[in-house]
Amino acid sequence: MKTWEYIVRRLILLIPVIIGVTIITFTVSHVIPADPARAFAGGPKAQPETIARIRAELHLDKPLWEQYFYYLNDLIHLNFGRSFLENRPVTEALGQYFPATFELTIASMIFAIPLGILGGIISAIRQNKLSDQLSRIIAIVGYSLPIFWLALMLQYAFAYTYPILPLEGRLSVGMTPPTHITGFFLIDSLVTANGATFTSALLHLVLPAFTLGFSTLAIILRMTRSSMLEVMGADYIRTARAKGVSERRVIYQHGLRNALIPTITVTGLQFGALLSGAVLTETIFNWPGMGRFAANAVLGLDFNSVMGFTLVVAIVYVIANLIVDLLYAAVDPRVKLGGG
Amino acid sequence: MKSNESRIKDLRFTFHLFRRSLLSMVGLILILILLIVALIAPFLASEHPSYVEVPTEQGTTRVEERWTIYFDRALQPPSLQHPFGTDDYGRDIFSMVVYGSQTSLRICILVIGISTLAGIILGGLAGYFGGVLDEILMRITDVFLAIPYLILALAVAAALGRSIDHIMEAMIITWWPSYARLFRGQVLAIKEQQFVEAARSVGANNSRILFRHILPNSIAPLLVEITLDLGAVLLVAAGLSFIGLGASPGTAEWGLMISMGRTHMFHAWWYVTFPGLAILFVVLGFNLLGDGLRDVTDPKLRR
Amino acid sequence: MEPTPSTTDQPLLSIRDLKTYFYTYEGVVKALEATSFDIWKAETFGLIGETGCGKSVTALSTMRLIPQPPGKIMSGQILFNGVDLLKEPETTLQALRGCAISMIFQEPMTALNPVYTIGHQIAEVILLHQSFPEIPQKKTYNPITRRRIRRAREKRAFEKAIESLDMVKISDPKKVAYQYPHELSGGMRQRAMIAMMLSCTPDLLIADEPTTALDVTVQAQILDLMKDLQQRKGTAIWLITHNLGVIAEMCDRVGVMYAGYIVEIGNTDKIFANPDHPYTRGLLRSIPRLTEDRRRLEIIPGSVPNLITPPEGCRFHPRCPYASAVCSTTAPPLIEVEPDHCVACYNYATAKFSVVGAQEEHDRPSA
Repeated sequence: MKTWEYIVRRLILLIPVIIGVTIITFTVSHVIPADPARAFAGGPKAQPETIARIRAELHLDKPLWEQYFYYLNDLIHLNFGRSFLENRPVTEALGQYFPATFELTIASMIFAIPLGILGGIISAIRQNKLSDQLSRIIAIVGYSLPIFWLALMLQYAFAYTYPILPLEGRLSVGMTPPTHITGFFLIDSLVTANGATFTSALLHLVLPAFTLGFSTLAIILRMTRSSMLEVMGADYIRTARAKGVSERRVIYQHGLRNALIPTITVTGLQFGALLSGAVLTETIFNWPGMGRFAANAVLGLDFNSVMGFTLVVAIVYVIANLIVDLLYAAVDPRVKLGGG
Repeated sequence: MKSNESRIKDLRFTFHLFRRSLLSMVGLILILILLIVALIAPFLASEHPSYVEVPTEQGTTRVEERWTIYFDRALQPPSLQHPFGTDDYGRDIFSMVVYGSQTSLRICILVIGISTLAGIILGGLAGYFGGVLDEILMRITDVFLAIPYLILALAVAAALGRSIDHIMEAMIITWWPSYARLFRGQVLAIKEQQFVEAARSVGANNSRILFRHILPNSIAPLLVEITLDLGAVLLVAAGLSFIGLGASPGTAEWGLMISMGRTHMFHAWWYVTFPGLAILFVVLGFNLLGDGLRDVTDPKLRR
Repeated sequence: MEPTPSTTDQPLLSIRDLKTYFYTYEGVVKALEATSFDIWKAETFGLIGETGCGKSVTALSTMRLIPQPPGKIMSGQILFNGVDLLKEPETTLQALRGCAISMIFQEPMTALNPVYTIGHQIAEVILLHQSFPEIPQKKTYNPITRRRIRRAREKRAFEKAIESLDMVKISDPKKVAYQYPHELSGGMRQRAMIAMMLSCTPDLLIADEPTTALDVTVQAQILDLMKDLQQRKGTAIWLITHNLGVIAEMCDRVGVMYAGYIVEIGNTDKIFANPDHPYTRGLLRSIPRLTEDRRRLEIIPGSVPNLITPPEGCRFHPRCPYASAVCSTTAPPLIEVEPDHCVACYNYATAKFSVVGAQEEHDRPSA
């Protein structure tokens, strides 16, 4: 099956999944709360008039399945409702916060993936020596850490005790963000040749990206290590040596090429962990992204925002996994596209 | 399929392999410490909470923890009397961490227990009988698995309202699909093996096959997954509490304590540090244990 | 002491007193204790023995492909064209592998790298060891020209790879060169392996059970192919197998291995006609014959020894009906029985003329 056909087919198959997710968000927001209208109106503090208005708006007097179709209709028109906390459409809020989260997530991946793979290779080559044992222990501690606690500890160490890094936020207080081209502060400030902003944005990115990426680094390191160990014991490695290939080439050209294949899949799954972690990390570092928005929305009982956030995350996650699947098929010739 | 003697010999070899790995033993010890602490909490802690009934929004009552407040000894650093220091209400953090172990253990066991049960039943039936049942289950789990764990639990818990029970319910809803798929995969793999055909050819009916043949052989990878997930559940539960969804303020729950301690972090580092260390060591224990189990049950690694 | 055949003066490969141990959790596996034999230019030498007797270990030791933990070549000499391979640095070995000495392995299904095409993998060996006189090789620092030269070499190597696939009688070699290993059958993969390892015309080809994993019809084809290539290129073949029929068909000389020792070695016809070592005789006797009427299959009583705690002296003595006192203390040396036929046994004469073995047949086993 050609690549294009496969992509289109997968995108079409996405639709039932997304619909399923909307069913979940619908159930969670309209069915679970005892009084959905009150929930949408702001919880216990809601005014009776507001509740009545919302009840009419959400067609809560109609049967459930009809409500669902109103809901779906809204979603298709990109109406995710109104954010109670920020008093503006949810889509607008999400649109504003999305680039910040995206930048943070990409930064943490740039940090975690290369280091993880490198660490895994070195660990595998020096199996059972001290450097290997040490990196394995660090890795396993790395993904046992509660991410919000790590964030706090890092803040304490590097923003307070030895204040070399900023405590929170995306930019130093009082600094104006660079002209909005991509929404990525690093790129925008670089393009507009704004050195001070670039430095500030970079410094502010360090701790949050490290926190968010650390557990991913740990998992990729372990995955690469075990994958390399398995691959290096394979028959074709012996064949490569028997051909007179230098050991270095054997490791990188023959071994790594095969060992990285399962790592790709793991990276895709880790993306979900990164999105989850963003909620906690952004809260602690006061990072103006979707995660912090969602955390505040949850506390402030801003239902529309929470559901909108959930939907966006699901869509992003599913697309990310599709990309990973394609990458996997591109890298491993044994996989035939269309095998699902 | 093995006879009883070879099973016992296998088991002995398994224990032997396990004991050889230092890290797995460390994991086991950490978990044993957790269990012991949770068990003897009233004897270990110097202060104890009281439990009161509180009316809920729905009209029923709910039990809440209450700790005595001592304003005059708020935010004291660690000392002999208070090994972990005191919090902003003067409560002894060590005692709170100790009692928190009970809460954490309860959350982990209940969430994993129920989701595993649900997952095994649904996944087992789907995998064994196949057909439409299987298709439906796969689609449903596809949808659930499209949303990352924390975020799904977040959404459900937000809708349910703030309480520990609610986050447990939210997490059960989040976790069962992965068990359903895991177990279904196991069942599918084993179903095709020859000893199942053999059993059927001598007249075993479906339930007998399921219980006596398929179940025992698919437990091993499930056990590894369960152990590792116990740690993951704790992390998510702590995260949810940290955000403010779980325990009500004043409860001794580790995630909540970190959230409370955050505002005082720079002048009272102990408030945040010790509950966090507790979470770290428990999750580390589960991960080390799970790793050890995986190494031991992986057929490739057994000589 | 090895007999000298009529041809050249120095053997191509001379293994002397090779000792290889493996340090494992259960103990030290003494895989090879004092293995010695020679292989001459352009001959086909067979090494036969049961699984675990050390045949593969000998081959891997020669190529120095023994995994260093847990294995270790303790002592001995491996003289290839007079050069002791055990004393050479790794770079020398890398230059020899695939070029002067090649090895093909038992499992064609897993011996090829799944992520590279067949052509690419064969071309790799060609690029490593062959020079391309038709491509200018100026020492230029210009990266663009260097890249062009490299591309040209790769292209030429790929063409040569296709030629070598043709040489092993693969139909449509160009198509196969662009395919991946998983797209080929076992027989094709083994042919590709042979193409790969013979592409640089090595002096010695080590074939470790090349046909064991293939079915019988393919087996015959592969063996024919190897014989044909040997005649055309003059490569010596060191064939490792547990199949007596293959030995009978392919090999000029054969060595019988047991528990890490060579117990009998020499010209194939002579050994099959007059097997002297009790183990060899047991092996030959245990082959069922179509032409005779027997109630039971002959076996050699006992089982292969544990190489962590091998028997003292001759490692076969616990199973040997002719064992004497000296057999349990000192390992027997190779004694010449007739020209080009040596045995490592003190009591071969008794064995030969005893009543116990009176029911032997002397015709050669058929393949």
